[in-house]
Amino acid sequence: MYLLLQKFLSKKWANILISFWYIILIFFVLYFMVLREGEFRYINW
Amino acid sequence: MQQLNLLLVSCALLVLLSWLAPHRFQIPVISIGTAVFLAYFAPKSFVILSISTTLTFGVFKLKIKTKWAALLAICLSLCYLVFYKIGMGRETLSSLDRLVPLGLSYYAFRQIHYALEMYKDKLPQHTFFDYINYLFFLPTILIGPIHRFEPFMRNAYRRRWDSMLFSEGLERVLYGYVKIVIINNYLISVLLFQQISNIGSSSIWLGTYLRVFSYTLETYILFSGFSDVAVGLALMMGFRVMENFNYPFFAPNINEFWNRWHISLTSWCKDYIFIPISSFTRKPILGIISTMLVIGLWHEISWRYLVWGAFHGLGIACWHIYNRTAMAKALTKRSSVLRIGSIIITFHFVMVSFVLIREVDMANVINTLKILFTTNY
Repeated sequence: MYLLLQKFLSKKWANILISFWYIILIFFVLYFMVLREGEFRYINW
Repeated sequence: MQQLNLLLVSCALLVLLSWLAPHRFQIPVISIGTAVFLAYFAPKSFVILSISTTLTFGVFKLKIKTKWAALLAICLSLCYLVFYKIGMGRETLSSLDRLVPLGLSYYAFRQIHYALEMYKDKLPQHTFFDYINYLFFLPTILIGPIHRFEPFMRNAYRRRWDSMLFSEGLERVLYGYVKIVIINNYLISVLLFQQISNIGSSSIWLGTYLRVFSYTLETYILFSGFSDVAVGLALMMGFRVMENFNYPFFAPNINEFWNRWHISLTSWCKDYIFIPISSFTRKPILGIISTMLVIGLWHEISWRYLVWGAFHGLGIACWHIYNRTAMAKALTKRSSVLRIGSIIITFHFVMVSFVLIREVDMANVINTLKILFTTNY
């Protein structure tokens, strides 16, 4: 995806956009895994 | 999900250790880490895997013909595969240990692949440790893909730190988690399930259709998500293993679907079942049916998977017969509307096949098919 972005944008903007994209994804994964239920729903050590 | 998180944490630790260790110890660190993981969380599986690894390698060192050694190794792998697939001894296993025999399916097929390649004399010079490294590779041990020995060995010897490969791996792991956690666990299991419950009370047909649609989608999303995590973790360790999916639901026919669905298994079956049977008997249709039956039984040794395999086998056979006709040749040159139509038909064929394996029992299968194919509902 990063390589694809670099084809259309400058390196600086590709870096910013890809970082933003990853942060959104990580936030939603953590949200649905942990935050939404108020506990570590799927992580049972 | 717990197992996936456990796998992720263990692999993350192994990734760190494997890159920090001195160069010549990097690969052994991965194998030892995998052995420790199995010995701690699934000791019985660890014993089975260790013994079968030693035996399937050892038979080729015996003073017997390679043909007999390969046959012995294949029989051995098939024995424990069938033993677990039939379900004998399952009661004695713990809940986590019960999951690892699922990995045995991949493991057994890797060992059979090794035995057959040894028989063909196509493998490069290697040691017992190379074989151990190939089989004790944590990212692919539980959920595949069934990667091959020769590319794995090439990867192991050429392995160098590559930041691009590492970031590609991280990205794949993230996408895998997005598929499992957001798309499957929330969008399909919660949102779509709510909609199906609401619709189901007003229209039985639409409710049933959407239920079948959701578990077909769920199977793909979950499996491809797990594969993404496995491929991503392997990339982070510096290994590029085989891909398992290539947008299977965009396949315009059932033959193409199987070229895009569980690629590592279908390519294995193509190499070791379809090609030998069709070249030996000169009957490709027989090769197709046999291959699909094996794929069905590989998932589970039961009547429903046998019927599921036969259903797909007949589907592919019919497509091959149709593909030879003049009508097929005329239609392939037509517009993209026909292509979209064929994608929808293929998807629905697969959807119907999933009724066979996802419903609880035969009565439910018949009931669901009756609702889907009659207009009374």
